[in-house]
Amino acid sequence: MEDQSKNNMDKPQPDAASSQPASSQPKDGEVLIRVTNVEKSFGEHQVLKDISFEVKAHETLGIIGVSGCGKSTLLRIISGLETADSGEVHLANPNYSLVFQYSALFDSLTVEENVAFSLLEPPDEEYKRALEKNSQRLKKYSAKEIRKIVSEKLRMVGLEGIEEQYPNELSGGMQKRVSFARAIVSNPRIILYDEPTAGLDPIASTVIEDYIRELRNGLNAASVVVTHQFSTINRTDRVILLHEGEIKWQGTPQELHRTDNPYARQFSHASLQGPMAMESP
Amino acid sequence: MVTKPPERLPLFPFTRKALSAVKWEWRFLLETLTSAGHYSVQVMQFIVSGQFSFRHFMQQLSFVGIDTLGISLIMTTFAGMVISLQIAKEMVKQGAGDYVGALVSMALIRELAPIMTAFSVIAMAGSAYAAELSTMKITNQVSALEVLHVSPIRYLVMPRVLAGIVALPLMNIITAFAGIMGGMLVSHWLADVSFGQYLDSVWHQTEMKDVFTMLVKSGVFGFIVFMMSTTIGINTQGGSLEVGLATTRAVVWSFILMAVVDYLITFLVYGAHGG
Repeated sequence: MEDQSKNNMDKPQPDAASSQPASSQPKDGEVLIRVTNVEKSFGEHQVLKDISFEVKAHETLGIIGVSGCGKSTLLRIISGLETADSGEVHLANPNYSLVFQYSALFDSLTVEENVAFSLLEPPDEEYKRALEKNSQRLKKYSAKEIRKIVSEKLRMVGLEGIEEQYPNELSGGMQKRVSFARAIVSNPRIILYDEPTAGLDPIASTVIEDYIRELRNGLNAASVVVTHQFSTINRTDRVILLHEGEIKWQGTPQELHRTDNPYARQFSHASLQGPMAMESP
Repeated sequence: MVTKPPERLPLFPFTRKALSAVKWEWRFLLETLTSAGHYSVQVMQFIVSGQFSFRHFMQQLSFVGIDTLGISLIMTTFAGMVISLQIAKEMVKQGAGDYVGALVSMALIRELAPIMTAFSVIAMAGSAYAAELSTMKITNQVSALEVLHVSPIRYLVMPRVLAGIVALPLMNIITAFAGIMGGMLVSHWLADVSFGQYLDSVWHQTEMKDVFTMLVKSGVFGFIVFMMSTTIGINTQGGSLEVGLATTRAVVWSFILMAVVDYLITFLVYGAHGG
């Protein structure tokens, strides 16, 4: 199974024919994501309290925690889809992308059009200016080149030959992999994943998890992965555990299994006993 | 056995609920109009800065203009026929047969053609847009556009609103013509008004001001219908229930705003004397 997934994957090459925009790679150790004292409330309910962390190039940060602890909200704030009530989010590179929890594929477009979206559709002027500031530029591709790029990306996620199908003709897992291909088509330097392997079979999960790692290595990308799955957590470099909007623990995936921190311990042992109260049936 | 007396019902049991719903709905309208105002400014900025996709515009123009033309034609043709059916015989009897065509065309050009066309467009395209965009919103497709650095206003709202502004006046020319022809057939069949007599009346009594007002009115209706549908759609939050609600609201508020604006334009152009 592992072999099959490896065969399906090509190591991403920065600024190869498949990249858009053309840009220089971030240097090792360069901070690409800086979150400082972020707070967010929805009405009376405070979802995030004084969250601060950094993610460097060539680093994958896992964000874990029980459902409703604010993980996805934090990811939406980093990606600019939500605004923080206070605090600051700084992305060192405008070329970022987000893999949504439920695919969010454009259902009126074919798989090919979905994956090629950012190559076909001219982006906002604001984004172009941000790229220019970063000494990056957008490259235009011919229809033939775009088709080649799309089939390359689809092959990477193990989905060749479905270019003409519509998202509603695919299974949930296939949709997820297409959304992954769409997110990486521009070879982003910052990649945010909202439960990228939820709902996928183990083989597809391995393909995605390996590819998250390959992107980190090949592009020197900074990644933030919101996840519940230990196979995904184990492939990250560092983990943050959120509970009730606060960072309760952080460390490496290896430390997660050894720590005495009651939150991390309860999470790693999937225990009902601990500070993260959950009602059992 | 002692039976418990029924709880005393308030005199108007639904009043408080109804008042709260009305209050909520007004708040919703104000928020929608504020958003629509912001989106209109953004659309203008996109046009001025040349961020306009002719391909998307043509796609929407073909949907609005071609796909909804059939039903608009049926409605306005029958509207012309009904007016003719009601007035032709009586007018001929009163010796005013020469004015049948003028009256039918005046009713259609000044009021019925723009209104009927807009009704058809609201029913077919406005509701479809509200449902489509609200579904896109609740399934994160709108967020996906933002993450891919494509403004949802530029990609979703602008081509639809511009298509409405362009399509409705063009459709109106065709539907008004069809209504006048429908009226001509009925007046000829029922009241022996000759085709020449009818067309002569239409030609001599129809003013350019009426035609120009019809085109402006329908363009404004196009803007209202599509700005409301897309704004309500793109601001939807929740689930499938809210998609249904968004569609209903888009239709209802488009009708109401259209009626108000119709009155205002008519008053401005024709004044209190109506002509």
